[in-house]
Amino acid sequence: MAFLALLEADLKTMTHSWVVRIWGLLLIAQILITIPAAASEGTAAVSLSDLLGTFPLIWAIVVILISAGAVSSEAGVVADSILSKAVTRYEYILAKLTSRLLAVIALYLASAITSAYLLSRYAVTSDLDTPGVVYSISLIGMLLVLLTSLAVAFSTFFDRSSVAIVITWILWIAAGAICALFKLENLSPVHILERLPDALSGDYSARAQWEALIGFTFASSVVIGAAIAHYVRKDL
Amino acid sequence: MDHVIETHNLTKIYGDKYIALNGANLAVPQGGIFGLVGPNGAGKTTTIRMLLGLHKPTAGSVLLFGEPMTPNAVHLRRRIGFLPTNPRFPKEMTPIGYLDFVGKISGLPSEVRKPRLAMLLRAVGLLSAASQKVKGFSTGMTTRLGIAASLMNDPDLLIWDEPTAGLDPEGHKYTLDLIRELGETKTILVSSHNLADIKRICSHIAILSDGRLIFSGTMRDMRSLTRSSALELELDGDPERLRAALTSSAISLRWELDRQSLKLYFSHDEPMAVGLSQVLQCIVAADARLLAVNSLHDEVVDAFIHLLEEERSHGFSRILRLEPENHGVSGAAGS
Repeated sequence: MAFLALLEADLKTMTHSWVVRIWGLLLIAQILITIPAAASEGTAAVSLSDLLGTFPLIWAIVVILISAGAVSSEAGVVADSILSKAVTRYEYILAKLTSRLLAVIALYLASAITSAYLLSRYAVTSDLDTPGVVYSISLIGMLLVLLTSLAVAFSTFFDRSSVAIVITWILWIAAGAICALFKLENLSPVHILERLPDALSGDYSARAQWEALIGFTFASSVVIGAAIAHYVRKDL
Repeated sequence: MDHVIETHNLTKIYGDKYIALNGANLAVPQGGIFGLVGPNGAGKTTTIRMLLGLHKPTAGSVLLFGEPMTPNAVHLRRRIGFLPTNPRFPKEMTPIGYLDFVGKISGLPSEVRKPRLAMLLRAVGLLSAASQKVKGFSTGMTTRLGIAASLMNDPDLLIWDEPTAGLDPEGHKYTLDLIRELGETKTILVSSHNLADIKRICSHIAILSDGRLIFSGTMRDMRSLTRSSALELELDGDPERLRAALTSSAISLRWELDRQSLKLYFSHDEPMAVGLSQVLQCIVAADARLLAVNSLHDEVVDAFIHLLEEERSHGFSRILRLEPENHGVSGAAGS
């Protein structure tokens, strides 16, 4: 009950957020530019790859802005007005994470699925493979889930949103190097983006698929687990 | 269960830098209004935050309704109504939205929640501002919304931290009257640095100073700590005849006569009633008329200052006092 009430309240905040609204408009504009361009030249796989690639590259900063203030922006209010009531800290964190994930993934999926459909119909060369498209959209989606989880986690660690935003952004930029260091190529954003046009045309390995699924799920769970473990012990 | 709140050696040290609370043993009985008093920075808010599970004790324990309080003890917090000092709320919410939200997270069904929030908004006088966003509210309006929110779950225990802070005289009086009224049916812990407020409304009092609980007991116990009492008698009659009567009598208390005003200073070594009856006999003998009797000392304030001075004057000897103090504080660690 408390989780649902918190989720509902936070989703309401999300829908009223100007960052979310402007992002939605920019995504529509992006589709309106990409589709006519693909109708005159280029392949659907490359066009969709370019469009999906903007999420971990450009729109990552919007995702961080939306998520890194989830808890820290309420630091002065949350103890007094929410956590002094009948709410566990788990419920609070999970509600915050769920609402940010819903907002990010809903906008991402709406943009990605619409673009994939329109490109398969109107691109000069339609080389999209349906399982490859599903795999690629899922892969970028999982990348965004990890990024959102990271940002929400850092917003529990720091009482200032600006610090959480900067730290998450630095970590995200360094993600490629970190994955290379630990030989986790299939989880590296750089590697994923390089392989995206091929994957959209159906050229991807089942091993890479499973590695990504397990790797991103594990990483996101660890990040959120750490955030909850920290927040439960924190003085508010 | 004798006590709604019990703390044992409750201690809070922030980051190995600042000792906010030191071995506090607090016992709040069921029913009545319990005042937590102390100067700013004495540790009142820290104590309250630990009672609510918002801060983790460095040492010691907190029992509420006989059970340990933890950050996730939802079943205990469901029985508590908390009003913070200068409460802050999500700015974009309206009072209706916020109280509905509080009702939802308290697990209240809609048929209970909606009538209750309407009743509370009416009771705190926010009905006309019910649809305005909280961000435009004055201090008084914010406090009244906080009061309504703390009552939304119909709690057994109310914990109000400095409820009169920043309020105008009307809001101040309204809040004190409300506490008094609510104290008839609920247990209330109210913190304040304003002793006059606590004196007016509380049946029990605890005093914190520099993170130490230096007194805990009833208001009567507190008053008994005053070293002296003083009365002023307003008279109508011949002052010289009265002066002569007082001088010739065997009364041992100190007195001052100034025209129609007689000031009497009682020490605690002798019964106040004996000295007063002797003075009244002198007044009758001098054929004077007693118009009014006023207290010159505020006993509670005197006792408060006396306790603070005593605590501060102990200095290093504080840590050598291993026996529990005779001030209603039982077994404080390091006392």
